[in-house]
Formats: sequence, C-alpha cells, structure tokens
Amino acid sequence: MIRSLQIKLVLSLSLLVVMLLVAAVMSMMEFRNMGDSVKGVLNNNFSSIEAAKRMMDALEREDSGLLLWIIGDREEGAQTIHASQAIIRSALRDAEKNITETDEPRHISDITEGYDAYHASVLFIIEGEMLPEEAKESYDRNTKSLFFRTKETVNALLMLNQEQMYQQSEIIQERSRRAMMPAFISLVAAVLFALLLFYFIRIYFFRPVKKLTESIREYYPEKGRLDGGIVSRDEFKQLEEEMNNLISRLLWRREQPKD
Amino acid sequence: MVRNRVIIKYLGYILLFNALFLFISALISLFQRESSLNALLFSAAMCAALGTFPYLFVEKVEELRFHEGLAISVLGWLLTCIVGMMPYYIWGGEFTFTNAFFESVSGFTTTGASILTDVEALPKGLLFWRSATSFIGGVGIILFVLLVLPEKKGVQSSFYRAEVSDLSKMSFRTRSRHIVRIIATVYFTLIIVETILLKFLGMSFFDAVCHSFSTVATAGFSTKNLSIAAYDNVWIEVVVMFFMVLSSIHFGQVYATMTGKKTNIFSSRPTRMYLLVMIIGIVLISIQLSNEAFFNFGESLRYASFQVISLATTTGLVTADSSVWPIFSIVLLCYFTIQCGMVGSTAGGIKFDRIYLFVHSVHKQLKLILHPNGIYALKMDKRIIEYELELQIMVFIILYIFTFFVTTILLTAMGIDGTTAFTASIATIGNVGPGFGEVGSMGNYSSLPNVAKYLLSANMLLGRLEIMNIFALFMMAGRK
Repeated sequence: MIRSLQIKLVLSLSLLVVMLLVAAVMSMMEFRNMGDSVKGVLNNNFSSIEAAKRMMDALEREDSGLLLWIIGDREEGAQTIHASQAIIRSALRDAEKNITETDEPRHISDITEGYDAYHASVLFIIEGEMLPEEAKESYDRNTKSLFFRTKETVNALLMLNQEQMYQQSEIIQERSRRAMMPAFISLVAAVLFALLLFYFIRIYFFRPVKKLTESIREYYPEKGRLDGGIVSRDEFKQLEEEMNNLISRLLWRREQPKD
Repeated sequence: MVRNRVIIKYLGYILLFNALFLFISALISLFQRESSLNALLFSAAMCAALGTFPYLFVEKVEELRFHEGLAISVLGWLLTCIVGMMPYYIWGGEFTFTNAFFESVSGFTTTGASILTDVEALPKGLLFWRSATSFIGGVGIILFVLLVLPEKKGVQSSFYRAEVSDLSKMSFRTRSRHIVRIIATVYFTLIIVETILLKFLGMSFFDAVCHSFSTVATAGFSTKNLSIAAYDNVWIEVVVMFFMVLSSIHFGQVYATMTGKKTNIFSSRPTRMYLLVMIIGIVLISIQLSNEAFFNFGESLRYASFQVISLATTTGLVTADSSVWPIFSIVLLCYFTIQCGMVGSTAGGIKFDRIYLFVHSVHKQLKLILHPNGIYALKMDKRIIEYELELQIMVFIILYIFTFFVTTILLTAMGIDGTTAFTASIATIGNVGPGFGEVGSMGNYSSLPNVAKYLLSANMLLGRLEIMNIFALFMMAGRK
C-alpha cells in the first residue's frame, strides 16, 4: 500500500495522462484507418469505375464507327473502330490491375470474352468488304446483340464497383464515429476522474489540514499530546507526529531549570 | 455512517475485474484481426485506469458495514452495466447508445434479451465479451470480486449479506466464508464439463465456451442468429437442457450431489417438486403440439422439452419459434417465465422456492382460519421458516407482480401490443429473455421504442437484484 501522498498524486495524475494518451492513440489509429479506407476507395473502386466508364464510352464509339462504315464513311468509321479498340483494351488492362472485389475477375473475364466476340464480328464486316445491305444485315443479325451483351457486362462491373463504393462509404462513416468515440469517452472519464480527484483531495488533503488547524487552535499544554485525528499513514501523520515531538521538546525545555 | 471512499474503492475493484475480461476479449479480437480490437482495448484501458485510481488513495479496510455492502452491491451492478456497454457503443453497428446499454444490462443480469437482428455479424471479440457479461453476471460481480480478493472476513460477510438472499443462505449448510467457494466450484465445474461435451458434439471451441457461459449463467445469449436451433443436433440440445436444469437448482444442493452428501438434489422436496412441475409442463405441451399437428410426438417432445426447460430455468436459448404455438402452450410457457428457477442458483425471477412457500403459507393461513388457536409452522426441507422470512417472501411476490404489472401498463401506453408488453415485462423482470409477440423466441427487442428499452433494462436490474435491494438503497439515500 502506497503511503506517500506525493506518490499517490503523481501516480493518479499519471493514470490520467495514460488514459488521455490511450484515447489519443486510439483516435489517431482510427483516423489513419479511415484515411486508408478513403484512399482504398479512390485507388480501387474509383479506378475500376473510371475504367468501366471508359470501356462503355469506347464501346459506343466503336459501334458508331461501325455504323459510319456501313452508311459509307468507311475511312472515318474504320479509324474510330481501331481507336476505340485501343481504349477498350487499355481500360481492360487498368481494370485487371485493380481487382479488389471477389467477383471482379469474373466480370472482367466476361467483358473480355464478350468484347472479343463483338470485335471479331465488327472485323468480319469491315474486313470482309461487304456491301452496305449485307453489312447492315450482318450487323442486325449478329453484331448488335453482341454489342448489347458486352455493354451489359461492362455495366455489371460498373455496378459492382459502385455498390462497393457505397458500402465503403458506410464503413468510413462507421470509422469516423469510432474515431470520435475514444475522445468522447475520455472526456467523460476525465470529468469523472477530476471529480474523484477533487473528492480524494478533499478527504486526504483539506480535511487533515482542517483537523490539524483545529487541534492546534484548541491545544493547551495540559492536554499533553496534540491529537489531529489523522488516521492515514501519510505525510500528514508525519506532520502530526513531528508537531508532537516539537511540543514534547518545548515542554521539556520549559520544565528545565533556568541557568 | 456510510464511508463513500470505501464504496468508491470497491467499485474500483469491480472496474478492474471488468477490465480483465475486456482485455481477454481484446486478445481474441487481436488474434482474429477484427474491427472490435480498438473498442475492447480502449474500454479495458479506461476501466483499468478508473479502477486503479481509488485503489491508490483509499486505505485498506478491516470491516465493511452492511449499508456499505448494500450500496456496493447495487451500485456495482449499475456501474458494471454502464462500463459493459462501452465496447458495444464504440464499435457501433446496430449498437446505438440505448441498444448498447440494453445489451449490456441484459448480459450482466443474465436475461439474454437482445436487440441484435444479426448476431453473427458481430466480431468474435465482441461476441466473447457479450458471453463474458453473462458469465460475470451468473454468480454476480460481487461474488466474483470476493473470489479474487483476499479480503478480511468482516468484508466478505458484509458483501455476502448484501448480495445473497436470506432464503438462499438458508439452504447452504455451511459457514458463509465457504459458500463463495462452493458456488465457484459448482459454477466452474459445470462450465468446464459442458464446454468439453459441446466441443465433443461438434461445436467449435469458441461456440462451446460461449454457450456454456450462457447455459450455466442461465443467460441465453448465443453466437448464432438461430440460437441452439442453428445446430439442429438432438444431443447438443440434451446436453444444454441438462446443464440448464442443473444451473437452475440451488448450487449448495448441486455441490452436495457432486460430493455425495445426503442433502442433495433428490432429498429436497422443493427441488423434486420443481422438476415435477417442469415434467408436467413438457408433457402437456408435447401432447397439444402433436394433437394439433404441429410436429409428430417425438419432435413435439423434443421442442417442448427445450422451450419449457429454457424458460423455466430463465435461460432463454431456443430451438423453435414458440410464438406460433397454440394458446394453451403459450400460457403454460408464460407461467414458467413467471415461476423461474430456484434460489441459490444463477436463475432470476420469483424463484420456485418462493412459490412453494407461498402455496404452503396460504395453506397455513387456511388452517389458522379453521383452528385460530392452532400453532402451525411453515417448513421447507425440515427447516422452519421464520415469520419475518415468510413475510419477506410475500412482500417480494407482491412487489414483483406489481412491478411487472406497472411495466406492462407503461409499455402499452407507448403503443406496444398487449402480448408483447406483458411477455416483455415478465421476461425481463424474470431475467428470462424471450417473450412472445414481437419479442418472441425468434424475434428480438430492437423494434421497441428507446424509452421502452430503458424501462425494460430497469426491470432486468430490479429482477436481478431481487427488487428489495434497490428499494432499500433508495430508502438509504433518501434518509441521508
């Protein structure tokens, strides 16, 4: 059992410091996690969404290029088709690099498969040097449905990442709450701590001082010992004992015959 | 004169004790790399810091006055429930401030009523803490503290007087300082044996430990959304039922049975009656369920046994949705929710012994009407019940009924339907957990308004502290 009031005070204030430190560390950790989550959303989901949007855009342009080719603007149509194909392939590579969700590889493989089939049917038309009527018929019969199917697979990838992004935002919201909680609870605990400390200071500091003051005020030599009513074994008890020693010495000195 | 600093010191010990279990839960979260780690660790640190503080200042006490013991007992439960909600609230999810408080009170009072719609979404660390609250609440936080602290005899007996009911003390045929050891021996033995058996029957070790805590504490928290029904294993149900029954019987009698003494479970008339009433209930419900083609007789017996034992022992684990059962079965189950287990066990509620004594007291009064000059003594297991204790039992039963009646009225005033209001009241004051209606065995308390949740939390605490202690503390505070 610790007897010294000085050590008791130092230890209790250290406890308060530790408590606040723990709260600060926890808050910092949660804020860091929150930052990581935001970064994760931007790096992973947002990049995949961007890639899917690029694919969608390029896919539509490729289809427009094919239609241009069919209506007779063959050179510009072919150029658009080739440019769009490069964009789609690059976007697919970006999406492959950013696989973060369980279902993402399946979606990317579906897009690759669908696009390969669609692009093959486009090439079949433009490299086959078909007549406009033949090309239109082939487009209606085969290419159109492949285009829509590919578009759907790209859309599925987009939806998956958007959903994940939404879920991530909820997680971030939860994390921000968790980051604030330690600070809030520490605040409550610190107030409680302060109240307790005040109570103990009143009991173990002010009360003994008051008791000692009263006992000194009411003291007269015939009483013998000074009784401050200190029950603890701390510095106040030592002070009471030292006061009694002083009184004893003074009384002894008074009783000695003068030279 | 009550010494506040002494009360604060022992409340500090209670905080330290909670910190220990929070720390164990944090370790589980750490190993599982879960999101609840920070919440648990932070709560443990807060409890440890606040608990150590009074220990530094307040000197060792030689003896504890009765009023101090009473204040520590009641305030200790309240404080425990408040700190117990901390990890839930910090972690978030379904835990709003009210929900976290409700779940914490429900755990510590071993009620097992939950606000969670998806228990399985909780991290394992939090699931363990949830079960640990039941484990701590099972024998009471004060008795746990007594087990750990090498306190003076004067301190121990004061705590013991405040925490254990007179009726319960009567059935322990030993000195008070040995009683804590007996309770602990029975409690830990039951938990260890049940864990081994459940693990052997195919549960994961984690689930086995959590369900053993829940069963032996007669709490009812499960790690599965479907409770014990999730395992669909008859042998697991049999083991759980066996331990629910044992945990609802006076631990002194269980200890006597374990050590081969004469004053065991089978020699006690109230215990035999308690078991008989349960058997009658099981048979009646089984017959009705099979007659009304809910299940075949075998299945009816299986589900009826589990539900009756679970509610009668105040555990609240489930294997079937009894809310859809015929009205007679529901009424019988409501009776068991009111009757509850036996004194000296981990069960809550009125307790069967009190009902047994009430019936005998009524019989005694009738005989006194017929023979006014006759001298009749109220007896339980060949021991005469003093008139003060008899009166205390009557007052307790009246207060108990009055409390759940008032709660029912208040709940219906909040717009809650009659069945839900009535069964939620009796299920929370009896520390049973599931009721009927919205709060049925496959439902939960999440849909109730926040005020209702606080009211039911107060009910759980009143039930756990056996009403009188809380009123006595209020009276003490009023006088001061």
